Amino acid sequence: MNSVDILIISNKLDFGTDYICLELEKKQANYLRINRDEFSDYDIIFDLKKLQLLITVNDIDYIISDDNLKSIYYRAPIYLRDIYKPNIPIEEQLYRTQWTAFIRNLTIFENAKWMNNPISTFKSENKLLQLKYANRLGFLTPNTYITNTSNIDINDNQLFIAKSLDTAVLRIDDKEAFIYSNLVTAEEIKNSSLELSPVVIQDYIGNNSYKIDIRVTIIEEELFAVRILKNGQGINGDWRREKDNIEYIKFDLPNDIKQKCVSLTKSLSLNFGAIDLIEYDNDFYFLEINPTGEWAWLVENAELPIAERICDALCSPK
Amino acid sequence: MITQNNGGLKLKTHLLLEKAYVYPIKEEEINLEEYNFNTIKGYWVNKKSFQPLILDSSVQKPRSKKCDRETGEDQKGE
Repeated sequence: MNSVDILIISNKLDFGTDYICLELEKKQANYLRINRDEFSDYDIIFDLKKLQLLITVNDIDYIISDDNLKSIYYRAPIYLRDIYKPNIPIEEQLYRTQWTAFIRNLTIFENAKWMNNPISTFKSENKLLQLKYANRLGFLTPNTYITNTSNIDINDNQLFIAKSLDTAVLRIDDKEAFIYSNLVTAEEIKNSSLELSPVVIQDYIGNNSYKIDIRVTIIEEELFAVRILKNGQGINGDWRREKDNIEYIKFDLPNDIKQKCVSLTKSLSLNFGAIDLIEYDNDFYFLEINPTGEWAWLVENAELPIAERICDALCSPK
Repeated sequence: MITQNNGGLKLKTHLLLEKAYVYPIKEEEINLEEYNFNTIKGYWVNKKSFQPLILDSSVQKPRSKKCDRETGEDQKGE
């Protein structure tokens, strides 16, 4: 029976998790990666009385107990969002709803260090709460409204960002649609139809010159920041729309901004967070924190040792 | 274009739908035929060289959030 110190909950095609397992192997850690898309291939028994999870994978037995488990790396959704997909077979509906509940129930391992605990992730994905906490810590934030009416008192001469309140991946026949952050004029908002759904309207930071998008990856007390540039300049609107020649340049944030990033992550009870900031006119504006933020795209592009630091955190005491 | 019939009044398209980025649904971009998922190691390994997939220079790594899928982190692992 193999005792597991570090449990990784992921899926088979999540290559970001490969970086973590490779690093844990180098550290000779006792870890187990379980993939949500392979649960049917495992034998799983949770003994509530003993607080023990027994998993057999390819005829190898693993034991995960509340006494020995150090940490859990949770790379899974906290709830299912993809209801836009049509005709999901009944077996798959049962599989997905019940296994999603099962991994959520693993929060019963209260002594382990979670990166991140899904309860904290759920709380942290509240964009309004993020902005409230960020303001409280002294971050500059854009004026923000959530509305379903275009009858809104906004400055006619300003640009705004219109974005969804939560991830919006929509199905249109044989295609998908994704809602980015959209740069819009006041006139567009005032002439638009918004009744159908709430929309987040924010002052656009970057009205007069180029803003620079910044991605900050925080692992406990450690922090990595990159500027996202194209041809050496910041990018107007949502940089994710840009396909080519994007540069990720690592740099040092001012100490007070670093401190605010770490404090915000802690205030949301997160051990990991990816914060989007805007640098504009020598100031830094907070946009949002992603508790499930991706980081693998920064490993080679910006040579950031993110996987190493995540593993250090997973291996160290709570 | 999605429209909503509301008591006979046809509403204009919602601003977010008007601005939505539409793209074809892509199948998995990485060809995994040459790789096995090693359940003990917890990562994909080349069947011949035994090199981890993520260290294989011929494989396109996640170079931007887009490489994780169009929706990047917003997919939340679904």
